[in-house]
Amino acid sequence: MPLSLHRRSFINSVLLFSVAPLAAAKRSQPANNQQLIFTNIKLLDQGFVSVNGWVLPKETLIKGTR
Amino acid sequence: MLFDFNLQTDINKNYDVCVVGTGPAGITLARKLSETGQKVLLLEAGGLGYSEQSQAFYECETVGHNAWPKFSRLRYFGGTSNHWAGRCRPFDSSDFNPREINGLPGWPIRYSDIKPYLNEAMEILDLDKKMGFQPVNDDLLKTRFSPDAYSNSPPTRFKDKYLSEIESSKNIDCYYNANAIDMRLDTSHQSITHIKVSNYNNFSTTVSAQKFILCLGGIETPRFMLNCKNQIPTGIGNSSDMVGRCFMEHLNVRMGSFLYRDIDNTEGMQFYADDAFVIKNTIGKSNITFGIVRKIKSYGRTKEIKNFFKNIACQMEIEEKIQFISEFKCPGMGNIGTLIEQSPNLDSRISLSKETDSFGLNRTKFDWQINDFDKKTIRKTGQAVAIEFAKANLGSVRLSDFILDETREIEFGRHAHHMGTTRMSESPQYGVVDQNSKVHDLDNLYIAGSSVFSTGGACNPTMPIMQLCLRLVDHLTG
Repeated sequence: MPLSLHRRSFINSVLLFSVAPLAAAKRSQPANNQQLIFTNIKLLDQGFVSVNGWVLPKETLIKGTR
Repeated sequence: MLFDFNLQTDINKNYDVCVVGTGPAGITLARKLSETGQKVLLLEAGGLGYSEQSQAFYECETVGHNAWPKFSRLRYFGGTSNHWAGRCRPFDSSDFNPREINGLPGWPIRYSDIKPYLNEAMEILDLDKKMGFQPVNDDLLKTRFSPDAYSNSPPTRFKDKYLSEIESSKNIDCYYNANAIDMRLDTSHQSITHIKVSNYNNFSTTVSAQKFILCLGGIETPRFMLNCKNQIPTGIGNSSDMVGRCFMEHLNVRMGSFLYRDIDNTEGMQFYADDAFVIKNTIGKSNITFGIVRKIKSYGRTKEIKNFFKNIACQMEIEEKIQFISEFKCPGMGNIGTLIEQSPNLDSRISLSKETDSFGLNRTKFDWQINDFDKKTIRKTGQAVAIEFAKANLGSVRLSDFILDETREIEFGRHAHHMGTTRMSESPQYGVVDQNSKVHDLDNLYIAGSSVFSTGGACNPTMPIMQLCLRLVDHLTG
């Protein structure tokens, strides 16, 4: 077997096994990331909510924080 | 005078007062009574230092929440003052306001009854009277919570401070290795006539006095009374079945964690729930501590790394930030601890186990219970303090799951403040001792220590214990 063929199959093998896990990882990403993050929202009073346990002003959910 | 009862064959039998226990209460009572000319017998079950032989008598059968009864107290001269932390804060006047919790009345005395003894109690505990009890931080939360105000004792080790004084006292005979194992009543069951005392070599004798004061702490005092069942099967002073009931601790709950907005802030904070908040919500009092996880000193490369995280914290969107801060212990982050008032509750109790110790006394069956009132206190307080923290723009609080979700079990820690098991009440129906700390059923048996607390407030108990002891001295000496 020619030496060049050996090189080509080696490179193909490396690429195949490198790309496959990345592709699989991409498929496992959630369709909607926020569904996983905001699993637990509770209104504490008129001005405050808890988001996954973090107690935040209600308007934070609309405006975001700095 | 000081005697090792392991080496003695007798005790002088004529005393005005017999004080059982040499913790802060027992030593204070013995000293102050002796100053008025009273002849005092002071009994200590342990030795002059720690021994496993003595400490083993604190083994309990635990059936409720674990209060670590063996290790949270010490059974030798000086008692638990040998390892207390020294934090002192007196009761508030509102602690003594008339109220009813779980069908039980509050204190039958008012704050004005113990206030006159504050200065002397501060002297005993080596507190700075000029400083008093100052707020420990700024009034940052504005509403519902105020800065805590307390003072730290060195802490006073009663053995180190008072052993030589007792040893040279002409009016105090102190016997150590002297275990009180029984109390005997007169024929009418109105008075204690004598106490039976044993050393560790199986020698026992009886001692008599005009008055007897039990200062054995919130667990051993009821255990001893319940074990005195030779003449009354239900124990001495227990006609209303109240001895051992209403065991209270200060609830130590991990409320959650926090992240300062200013991550360079390395100072902790402590707050105390305002009375208006407590009354409005019908909950117990609370003391909240914001403790920083660690103080970060940054320079050189560390400073660059810190700036990197600071930038991330400021630039991310909320959902990313929530995930980030929930997973990373960054600078400016800390934990929220508590010292919360537990309500008096008949089901939370000390009773007798079937197991016995080497003196034949039943060991303690320890059933510490927390009820719905206490759970409400914890959850209301946790949510309120988190909201106030955010309102004050100090940063964000992440509450533990059990604060927000009532279906989850609350995880309790302890403070080793054992209270309420011989509570003070106007009527024998609701307690064990009267307004003067005298056992309702008897003419000459008194109790000192936190077991007489009707309610526990949210302050460390040693300061009020001292004030009540000094008040008892005044009562006994007219």
